[in-house]
Amino acid sequence: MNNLSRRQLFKTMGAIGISAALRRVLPPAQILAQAAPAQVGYRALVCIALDGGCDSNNIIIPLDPTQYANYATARPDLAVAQSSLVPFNASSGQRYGINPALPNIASLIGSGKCAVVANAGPLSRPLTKDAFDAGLNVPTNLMNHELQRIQWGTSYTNTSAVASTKPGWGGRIADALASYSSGQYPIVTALAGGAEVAFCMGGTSVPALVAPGDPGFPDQALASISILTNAPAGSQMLSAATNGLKNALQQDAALRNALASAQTLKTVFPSTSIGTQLAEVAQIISARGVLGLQRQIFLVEHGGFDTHEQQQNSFSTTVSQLDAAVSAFQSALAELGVSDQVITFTTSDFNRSLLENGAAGTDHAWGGHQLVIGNAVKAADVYGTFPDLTVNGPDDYLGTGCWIPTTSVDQYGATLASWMGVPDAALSGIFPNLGNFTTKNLGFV
Amino acid sequence: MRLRNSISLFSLMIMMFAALGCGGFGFSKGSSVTTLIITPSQLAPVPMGGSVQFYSYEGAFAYTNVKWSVSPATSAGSINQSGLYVAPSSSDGVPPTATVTAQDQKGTGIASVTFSFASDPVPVISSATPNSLTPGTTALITLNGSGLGKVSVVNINNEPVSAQVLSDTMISITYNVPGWASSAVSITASSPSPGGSTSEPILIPVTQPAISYDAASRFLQQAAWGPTDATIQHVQSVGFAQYIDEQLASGPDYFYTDDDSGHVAFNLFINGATHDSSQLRVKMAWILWKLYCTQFTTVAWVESAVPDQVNRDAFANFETLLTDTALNPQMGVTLNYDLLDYPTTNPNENFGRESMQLFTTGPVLLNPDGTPQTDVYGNQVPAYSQADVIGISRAVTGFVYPPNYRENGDPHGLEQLQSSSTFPHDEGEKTVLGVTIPGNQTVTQDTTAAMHILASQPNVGPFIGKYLIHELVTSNPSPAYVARITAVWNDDGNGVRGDIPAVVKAILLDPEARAGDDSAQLAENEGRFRDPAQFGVFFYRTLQCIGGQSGGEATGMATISNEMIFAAPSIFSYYQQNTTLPNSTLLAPESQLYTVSALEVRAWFLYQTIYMPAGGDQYLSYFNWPYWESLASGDGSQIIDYINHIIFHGTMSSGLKSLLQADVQQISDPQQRAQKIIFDTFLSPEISLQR
Repeated sequence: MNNLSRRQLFKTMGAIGISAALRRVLPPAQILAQAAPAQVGYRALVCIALDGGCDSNNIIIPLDPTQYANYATARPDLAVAQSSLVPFNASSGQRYGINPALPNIASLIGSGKCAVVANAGPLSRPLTKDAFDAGLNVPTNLMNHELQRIQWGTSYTNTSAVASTKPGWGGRIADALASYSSGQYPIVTALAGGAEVAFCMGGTSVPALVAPGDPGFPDQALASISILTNAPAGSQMLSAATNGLKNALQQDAALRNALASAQTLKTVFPSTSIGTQLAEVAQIISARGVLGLQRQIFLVEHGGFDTHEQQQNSFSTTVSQLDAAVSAFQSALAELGVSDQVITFTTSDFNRSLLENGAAGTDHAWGGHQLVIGNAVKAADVYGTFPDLTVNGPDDYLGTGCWIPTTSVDQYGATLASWMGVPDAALSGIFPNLGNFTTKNLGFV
Repeated sequence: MRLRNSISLFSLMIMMFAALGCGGFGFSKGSSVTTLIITPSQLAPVPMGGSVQFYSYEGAFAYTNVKWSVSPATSAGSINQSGLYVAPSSSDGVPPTATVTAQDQKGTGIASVTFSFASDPVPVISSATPNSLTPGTTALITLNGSGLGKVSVVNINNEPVSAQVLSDTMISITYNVPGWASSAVSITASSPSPGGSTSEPILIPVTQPAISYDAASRFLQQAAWGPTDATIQHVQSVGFAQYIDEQLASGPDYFYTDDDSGHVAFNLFINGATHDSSQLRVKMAWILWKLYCTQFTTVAWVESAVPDQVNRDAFANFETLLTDTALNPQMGVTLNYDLLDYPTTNPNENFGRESMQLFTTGPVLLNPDGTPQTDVYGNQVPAYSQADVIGISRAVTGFVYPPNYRENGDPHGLEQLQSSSTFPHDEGEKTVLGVTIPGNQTVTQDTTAAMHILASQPNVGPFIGKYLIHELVTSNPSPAYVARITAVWNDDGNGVRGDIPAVVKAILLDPEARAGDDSAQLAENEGRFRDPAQFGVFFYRTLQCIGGQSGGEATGMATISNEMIFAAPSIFSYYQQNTTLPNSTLLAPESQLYTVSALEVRAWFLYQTIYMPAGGDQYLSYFNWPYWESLASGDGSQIIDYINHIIFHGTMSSGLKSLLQADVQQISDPQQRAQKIIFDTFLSPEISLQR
């Protein structure tokens, strides 16, 4: 990226960049108040953050001969053999293959319960390669793990490296759907930590921050904590400490109470971290009635994707762990009778370079393919526009097979938000860049 | 017998009987009486609270149809209608004399008795020696005065102290002047009820040290892992600057020790809690290591290599620290440039990117005051480009391990990655941030050159300087504070750039860091959240709690709080420096770790450490309970004061103080009382903030 030319051409772009950057308005209250809930009944979103930058180039591979040849040439050590890919047909007539390390995902695609959203990433408006080279409307801090996770979680593309203050779209959806909660427990529950939690922070709502196997508070501490957290409000820092402890006590008690009466699940989850997290999500879903929630949003995390070297040693294992956990989760949802009501979707810091590096690994990129799983998926298809896998081709901004996204986080998120019951009129308030795209609903749910 | 003599005798008899008040000689009841008398008619001074039974007579005969009263009415005691008088219980406000009166209800007869009161003399303190007191010392105070003979209680600042009444004119007191004693103490002497009273107070000034106890306590939470009584006194004695110089003169205090069975993490807690002379070294090693966040690996014994190398270089020049870290095998493993990075195509970009993003420049250009630079459209400006990432990535190709790494030689694993003729290195010319690294050099030369380029960037001062301020003092320094530190980073006064000791000293001595030593000047949002490891060390150190294989419980607490010691979840450290409080612009990086789980395990850590007996479990720490019991005995004010000053440097909230006072009321056993007070203190929200 040439900083000099970028600065020159900013002069011609006028105020567009600024207004997008400054438009951090939360949904106007009156719009939310007027909108009656579109659906009754329960719905939930489960976001699986694939931490480290998932090489989704190796999850869904085009079977078109030219595309496949480009793919295989760029990564001789890492390319998945064509004959082992699990094929499926997209509605466009193109054929794609799923990495065989994801047999359950492949099977869900086959039964119409998993969709692929191609080449998605933080993006403020459609961007051509020429515009990218000119430095127009390019998100800040590309290929920076932490800041890209924040951009995925907030959909703002000009995050400050110095102070990250914007709420996330998961939290903003929860704000808009507050009427679906009895108010005794948060709509959003985060089982992950780190920068991706930005997704969960609302303008008015706060998430529950839990972990599987939370030990609870010792009984001997309860009375004192209760007294100490009823102190009058002090400075912002002290109030944050006080409210954090108070919320922890209340949430822990509420969750423990709810789980005690919840249905015990027969589904056996893998004992991996992602398996344990999704098991906890299923348990919390089973307690949704006692928690007084008709809408829930969860964040879990699966890591190990920052494969700069010897990717073949770890990638298959890492994605198969994801595959097994997702499969168990779908079984648990069936047990709970909510298969039609829960959508699981992936995000990731970024995709990785199609071109493998000298250490048989891949480096940071940008636009990547996401998976959306659940009975409510409309059709197993590839949504959006699949990139041209030519290194240095029209979609490659870096020269190593790194794709400018063709679908924005805003469009991805708005589709999910719509399904959750956020009225159309409120979507542009939650997703600041949505107005810059023609297709506001990708149609996968 | 003549008749005249007989009549006189009879009259005399009548008068006699009347005088004697005898009845029954045939006087009719209805006769008016003109002589009413009270007995006793004279009395000795009545003691406070004493009682006297009065009787009334008409002539020789008891006469009860009287109304009793005493005057002055409200202050001279009371009398009932049977004539029983009770004196006031206290001599306060008592009149010099009182008069009891009986008034005939049928006639006009009236009789009174006046008496005085017996009370203890009012104690008077006319002078005291010595004429000033020194905080933190034991003083022998002598009170001189009068009326001191019956004194039973001597109070200093309204708390009873042990005193010896030597005579009516002299009292001797042995008094431990608290380290935090304020400008004067007020002494009173009281004699007991009934009849007792309290002297007017006498004041003895307290010499205020140049550095107050509270200021030293607060400073040691920044410059060290926490205060102790001994180190507070030392700081008061030598001053802040000399304390820092002494600390900077200490040598490495390594985390890996041969006999620790690999429990490198424990030594963060043990060294931090107990090593007085290397407080700042150990603290800086932890802070600087969190920049690098190397990971546990399975290459033999490397989990302590970078922690110990940072420990050794904590007071070196920044460029030395940076270069030594880049050449450390554990960093090579963590960022994948240790082996097999064939340079012919696309070296992996991990170290190339993170060496700038995390270790030196940060992601965006900064002004010297730490604020981000912006272009004409208000956008932040990247500090480096993809080409710079590639340049550094090419520079670090072709490293090999030193021979027999860790098998002999340096037990801390501080040998460096090396060039090799067997593994190829990209020998072409490289450009990083506009500076050319010439071709045909070894990987070590190229890497050293690249690190020199990075360390020279103007961004490093504000990026790393602000990080150090965040970790030592406050999450929200003013831009002016950051700018002052950047200036020292750029030139330590001797023309040297990146002089970490000079920068650390400037951070700790800066007026903004020291302003809050006076709690009236402590800004509302000054300070930072303690991270879990720091919370654990502070707890162990300041409460003098150590023993067993200390660090075991705290290590577990830190792990479950997502701060596993020396094994971060990724190179991106445990928490992000740009994290703000929800819906606020206030930075609070460590608050990212304050999840429900973390708060729960903190409560369990406190419960287990404070209440579980240590015997039989080598991993449990224990308290010096006799010390705490002596503090906790009595009316509880001593232990609450101590906690207020050593933990909170005088800023304990009234809510916490009330809870601790309730603990005193409810628990009389000294050890149990101390346990509960410590438990409640460390459960409080305010302990989470280092202010």
